[in-house]
Amino acid sequence: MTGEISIRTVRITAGALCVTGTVILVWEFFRYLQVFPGPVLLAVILEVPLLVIGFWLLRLLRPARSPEFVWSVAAVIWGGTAAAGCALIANQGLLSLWAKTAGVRFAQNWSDSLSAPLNEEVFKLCGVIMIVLAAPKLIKGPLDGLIFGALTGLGFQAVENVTYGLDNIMQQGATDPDHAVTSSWLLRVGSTAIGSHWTMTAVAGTGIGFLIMYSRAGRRRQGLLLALGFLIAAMAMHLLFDAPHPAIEIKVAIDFLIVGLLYLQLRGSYLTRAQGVLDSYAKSGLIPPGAAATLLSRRSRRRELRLVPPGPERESVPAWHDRILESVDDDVAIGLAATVLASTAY
Amino acid sequence: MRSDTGLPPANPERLRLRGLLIVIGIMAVLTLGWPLLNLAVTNRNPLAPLTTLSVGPGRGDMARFTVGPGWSMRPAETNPRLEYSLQRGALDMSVSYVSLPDGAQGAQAWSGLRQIVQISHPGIILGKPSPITTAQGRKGMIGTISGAGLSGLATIVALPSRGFAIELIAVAPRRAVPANLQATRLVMRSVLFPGGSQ
Repeated sequence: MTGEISIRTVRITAGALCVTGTVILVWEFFRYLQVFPGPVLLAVILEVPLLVIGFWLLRLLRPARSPEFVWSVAAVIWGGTAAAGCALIANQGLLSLWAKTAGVRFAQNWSDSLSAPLNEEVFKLCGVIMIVLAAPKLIKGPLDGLIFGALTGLGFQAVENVTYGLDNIMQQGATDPDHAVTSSWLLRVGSTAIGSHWTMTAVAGTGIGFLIMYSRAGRRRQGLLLALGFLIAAMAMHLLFDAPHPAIEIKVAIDFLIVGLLYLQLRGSYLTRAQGVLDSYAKSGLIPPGAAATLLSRRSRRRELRLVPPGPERESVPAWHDRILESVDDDVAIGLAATVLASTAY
Repeated sequence: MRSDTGLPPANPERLRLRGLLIVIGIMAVLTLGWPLLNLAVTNRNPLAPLTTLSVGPGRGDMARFTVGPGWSMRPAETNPRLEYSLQRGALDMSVSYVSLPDGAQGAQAWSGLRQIVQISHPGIILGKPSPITTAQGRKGMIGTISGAGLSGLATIVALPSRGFAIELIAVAPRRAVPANLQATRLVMRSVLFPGGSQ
């Protein structure tokens, strides 16, 4: 099988799984759509700002240049369809098992935190893996893994918020469905959004980035262990989030802090390596000496672009920036793999 | 053999297809595995006659109800904080805690219950409410439900001072209702609010 066919196979399968997830979700909530069409629409519309702002911010988190738009959208779609749909069925099965085997009193406190992390983190992470398989070279290292993981988690988070809003209609006796949806949204977006699914999948996705980095160096087994470690960390974050204690504000803060520190570490490491690569390009004459200082910053690139007179030359500059930054990312990835080789050589 | 970067060559096609199969396998195992395993475990816990159960999130925000002989609990659909799923022969009964924002009650609560019935039992219609008085002396509403070959009863007993109500929906195939009607009414009348003053 040629590379093109195998990539197409992966993409078609991913699409089919997204359709399957959508069908499951629609099937599960179709009655709500019939009985409460307005509140269902409201629940969906309320998630749009979260999706748009979250999508924009998460793509900006990637230093130098944002990940490809189409694949960023694909990650969000996977999270909101394939992952959310499959998780709905898997969770129902496991939650019921806890209630049947450990008792309803235990299950009311612990079944969520012992079920959702196991199922949902795996389903969301499968989206990051599918992107690795469907778009080779897109995720080159841990920082890319973090961003695509966060985007997948964002899609899942938005759809889960909608389902929580609909559940809240029932929990408030359907006396004021619009109020039920809005109050659920206020809680989910207003207070827990910054430490929810996107943080957990960002951590798990980082592991996939490390797996790619280690695989490049021929150390796939170590990479797999590392990826498993990050997945377990993400599950632990999710378990904490769903646990009955401590207060939700503390749990949200912890998850946000974990992903924040991880991001700062990876970002710093990337920028140091990328700057080194650009300096070497400047030394060898591949880029003008001044460009090495400005290429990694979106703002500096825009400023430089404004200095170029309007016309064909200005129009060609963004494409040139893209080519250079693509090359920088490749060289950073090779550098990371070489570091792995050097550190694990014996 | 190593490439000029010093890194070993890879076989991306084989790896890609293996990766795809692993992803499909994992998703299938989790999505189908838990529900199948769940089917293998019984979902019926018989309850002793005169068992008293409590539903609701907290000490003040909760209610108790008592079941007579012949009832069992379905743990898979039960969460004592929100809902109990009970069974007596062919009759299914849910006992739910619902919060009532802005003290909604009366016609608004009954209209909400009608929509909940439409969600939980498609094709079934909830009739007009009649008054019911619980053994504790608390006033509530009761109505008949019918449709799709099923019939039964639904009740709301509210505690407005705490902003919540208990809703009971009992449904069975028409033939099975008479044998369970009295037992159902007894459960509905047994609802009491330990923390309620009015």
